[in-house]
Amino acid sequence: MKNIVILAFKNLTRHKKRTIITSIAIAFGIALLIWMDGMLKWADNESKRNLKNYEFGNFIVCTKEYADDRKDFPLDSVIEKPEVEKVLIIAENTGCFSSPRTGFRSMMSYKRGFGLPYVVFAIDPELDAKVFKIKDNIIQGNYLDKNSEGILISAYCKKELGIDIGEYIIMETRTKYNTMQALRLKVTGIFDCPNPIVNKNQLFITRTMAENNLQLEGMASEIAFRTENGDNQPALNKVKTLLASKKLTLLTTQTWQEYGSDYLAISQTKKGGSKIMIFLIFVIVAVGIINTMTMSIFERVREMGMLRALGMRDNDVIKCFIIEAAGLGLIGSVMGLFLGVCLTIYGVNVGLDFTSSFKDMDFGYRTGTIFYNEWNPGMMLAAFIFGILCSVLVSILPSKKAVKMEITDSIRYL
Amino acid sequence: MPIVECNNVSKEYKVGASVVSALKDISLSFEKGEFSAIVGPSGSGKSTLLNLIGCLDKVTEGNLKINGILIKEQNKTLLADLRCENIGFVFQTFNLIPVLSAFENVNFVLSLKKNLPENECAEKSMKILEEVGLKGLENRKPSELSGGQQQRVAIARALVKEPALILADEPTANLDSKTGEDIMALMKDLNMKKQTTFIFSTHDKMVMDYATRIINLRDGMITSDNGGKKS
Repeated sequence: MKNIVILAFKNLTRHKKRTIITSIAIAFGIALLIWMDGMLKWADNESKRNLKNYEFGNFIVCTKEYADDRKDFPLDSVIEKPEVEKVLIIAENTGCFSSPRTGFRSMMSYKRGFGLPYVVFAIDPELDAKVFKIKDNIIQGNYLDKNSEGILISAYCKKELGIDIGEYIIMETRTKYNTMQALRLKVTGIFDCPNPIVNKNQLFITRTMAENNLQLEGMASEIAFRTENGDNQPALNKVKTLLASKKLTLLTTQTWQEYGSDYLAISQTKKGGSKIMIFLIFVIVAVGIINTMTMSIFERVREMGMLRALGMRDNDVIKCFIIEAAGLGLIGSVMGLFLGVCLTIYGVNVGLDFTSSFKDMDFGYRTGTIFYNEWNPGMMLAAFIFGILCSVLVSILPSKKAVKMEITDSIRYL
Repeated sequence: MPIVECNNVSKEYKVGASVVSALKDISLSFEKGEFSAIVGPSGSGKSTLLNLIGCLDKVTEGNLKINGILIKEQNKTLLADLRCENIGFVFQTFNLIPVLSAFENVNFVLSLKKNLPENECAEKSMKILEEVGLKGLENRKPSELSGGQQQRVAIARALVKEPALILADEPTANLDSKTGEDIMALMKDLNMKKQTTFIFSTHDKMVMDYATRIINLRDGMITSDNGGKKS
């Protein structure tokens, strides 16, 4: 067996260029698989993180009507002040951070005269900073304080409206009682967070400001919760129990998974799509290996005939070719793993900037336009093993075909 | 007991719709230590007979025994093992493995024999290479050897398993006359020393001169067999 292994590995040196080209094809497939998987994993996890950190929290408490219709941010199905206070106490009792928020649609305009639609959230800056991470992403000016009369806008809004820090923006909206209201608000801070939904659509003012001007009277459309360890379920169960015990039966809870079900469905579909892509990469790799092995086998028919004549069993001939293919897969997989690790290091530290391609495009992920990578040692190992296994599997058929030829024909084969 | 025993052996090939009879009712045997040549014009059936004796092909009719073993009853694996233990081949075109050195070419074939320790294989391989005059050249690849040297490696490869029988299909056809003669002298010497049975197919008069027994074939039939007695 040892000599068969030696022969198989020496056979790889017969046509060095061919071996290198095939190995590069395998390496390319493996590296691409590792890199793509790492990037998709990052995009998936980053989307989940960004959804929780900037958009939703772990779960919200809101009225049932609001939960059904959240995308419209209705002001007529909100939680009234006494219930808000009770829910805040529940949050305290369950060890969660909570932030009452009131979202409403507004038309924002600046000097140029045209307006752009945004969702404005009225927040308690202090509480909100414990649930969301907008505060950590201020790039100009300051985060809101409790008595601030200004507005916190996104870098995207700044660019779209051509407005800057210290300038005034006109907010046109409706009060709780459906009367039109226009406010002139000073831009006191600009944030740039990694969640494009928040960046492109959301602005923030204080609850005090909203209560004074929009007749919100201490109400909140939702109360966002953040659990300390990031796990929803135990806290959610406690909150549900306490809501029931406090007879807050008109209120309900919605988790980030329920809210993001559309996104999660898209994410699953994308995973399926990437599997197809991975499969196609391996088809290309497999064709390369089959081609190389078939060429190797058919140029060595006479040699095989000689070895079989001298008493080498057909199974040993097949083994020799399979080990050779495994060697080819091993070289390709080692190269691919190395390349994949290098690409991942680059992806983790620098990332790929798709800003020019994805500028204003909504591609489903709640990430910025710079795509990073995440380490996935499991996939790296799987890709490495799969590279070798794939090489072995596709070499079995041509090897078996080769020993079907009669020895006398093999020896005469030209 | 003869090493090779052919009894009324016939071999037919199908070529398209027609059947070609390559050997017709051949009966002959070879004893241990014979140095025989099968001669005849192209198409006379020399290679077919060697292939049958070498267990590379099966008879259509009749019986063939190698070392007393009836060949047509053996399956592929048993035939491979039988060839491994009993038969060595020397080919016209040497058929060495180009990525292996002279030593490795010989050692690889010997390692096909089961239950032989690695160091014993290496020792035997070196010894046989020395015997065929390739001492000092054992690490050279076939491409670094002359035609004669390559054929010596092929002979060493055939002999290293110490088979009862060596079959050589036109072993000098690809060599110049001087080298061809050297090779024949070497094989004759080994035949004398080791009492290994050699059977050649050849057109070469010089090879025939070395052979002690000459079997003439024509149209698949034996036309003459001197039985080892040269005139």
